[in-house]
Amino acid sequence: MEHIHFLILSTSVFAIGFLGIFVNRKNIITILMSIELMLLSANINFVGFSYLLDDLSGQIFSLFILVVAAAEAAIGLAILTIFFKKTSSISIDTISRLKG
Amino acid sequence: MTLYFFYFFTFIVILSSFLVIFVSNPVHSVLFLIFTFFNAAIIFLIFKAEFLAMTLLIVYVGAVAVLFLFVVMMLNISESVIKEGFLRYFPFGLLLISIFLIELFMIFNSDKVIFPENGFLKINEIMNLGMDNTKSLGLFLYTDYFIIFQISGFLLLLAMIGAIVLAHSDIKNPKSISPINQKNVDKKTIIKLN
Repeated sequence: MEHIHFLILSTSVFAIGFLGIFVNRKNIITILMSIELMLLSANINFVGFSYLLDDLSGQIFSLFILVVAAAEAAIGLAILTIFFKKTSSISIDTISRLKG
Repeated sequence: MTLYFFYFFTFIVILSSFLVIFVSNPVHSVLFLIFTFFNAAIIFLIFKAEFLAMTLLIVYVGAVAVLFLFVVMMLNISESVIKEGFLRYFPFGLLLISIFLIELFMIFNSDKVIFPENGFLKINEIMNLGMDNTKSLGLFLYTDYFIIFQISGFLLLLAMIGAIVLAHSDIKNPKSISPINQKNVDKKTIIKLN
């Protein structure tokens, strides 16, 4: 198996996650899921190169990415619930407290 | 044979991750995310990373996806509002992604990218010592990568504390009486004779 096989898979999944962030402007939950997809593509890259280069370090770092993804999902969803409690909507357009 | 399996599951992963972002119902979206992670775990198995495949299933399907489903069901969002502005941002996103993909595939096809020949922690040598995937991962995780492992543990603790602090709110009408208020009670103000 050559490197191009899993590189195509991981770039496709990353691009889909990227597109999901652009397209879903009214739904923060889908944006969080798109971020999960992008982290999954990074994981696929690490594990694929670990298989290709016969190196265990890729799998170890993939484990750390898993930890970061779990922490990010927990914090993001907690912020989302308090945001929904205050504004009763999950649209991006209503997040304008900072007037940025 | 393995390559055809890999192509098949790659196709399923890409298709279901498309459906994650394009399906209008958020519950269906989370279910497609779970399906994507199942197939990604099978791809990890093809890459001979058994421990990571099972960890992906436990962490994502067991914890993160259930958390997503819980939040989606708790928030009670109307479906019609969600898809507004979909066509407005779609062409711009498609343009940016096509630029990104063209750049990446130009790099993949060029001859200037050189991959290292030999790995640092060689899997085949470790396997020849009679250790399976989980055992060899543990062997390096608890010795060479010990500090990063500890830091990731602290990160999880921080995430747990942060989530509790964010989600915890002060109760408006508590049933218990505050000791300070109780101590400051004056007899003249509180006893009324009608």
